[in-house]
Amino acid sequence: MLEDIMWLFINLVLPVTAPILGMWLEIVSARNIRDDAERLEALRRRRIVMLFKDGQLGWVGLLMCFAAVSDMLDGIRKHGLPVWAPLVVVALLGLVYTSGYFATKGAVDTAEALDDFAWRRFPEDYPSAFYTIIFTLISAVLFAGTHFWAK
Amino acid sequence: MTTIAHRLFPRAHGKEAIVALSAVIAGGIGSVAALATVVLIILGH
Repeated sequence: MLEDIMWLFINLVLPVTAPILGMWLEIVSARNIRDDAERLEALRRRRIVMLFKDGQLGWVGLLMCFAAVSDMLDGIRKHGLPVWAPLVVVALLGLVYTSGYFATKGAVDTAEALDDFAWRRFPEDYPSAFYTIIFTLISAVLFAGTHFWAK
Repeated sequence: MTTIAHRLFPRAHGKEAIVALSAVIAGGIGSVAALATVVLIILGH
């Protein structure tokens, strides 16, 4: 049980929360800047949304998909080919394509970091972030599913 | 199709919105397949 919780934490929670912790350290250090204008500008550039706005989570989603393939192959060696194997192929093709696309789109068309943040406008303001968050969550579910099946 | 693409991605230019929509559709299909897979795993198939 503890091993499973640790696996979930290290493989699914940490890849997303570690950069947030890093950004928090950046924010804390920027608060010590004495010059007011310089501090405000530094804090404006140090926001959590900056971590995800250009679809960076897409790369995390891609890695989760590839890790799911690895776990799937381990599982096939142990349990044989499951009936849902074709579904995994469809899932991986779809998720790899969409994660790769939005991660690349974000790199090409960098989203402007808006000063006013509104959840209601989030899909419109940061489409790469919005879609990569959804599809990375699904990739995480698939990764966890194949991992625990393969055990 | 084009209307939906431009509604979802109002800042995308030309066919870029269609390509982005294709990625969303692919992700949607992949998501359904992924969730169905996990359900089948839980059911023990």
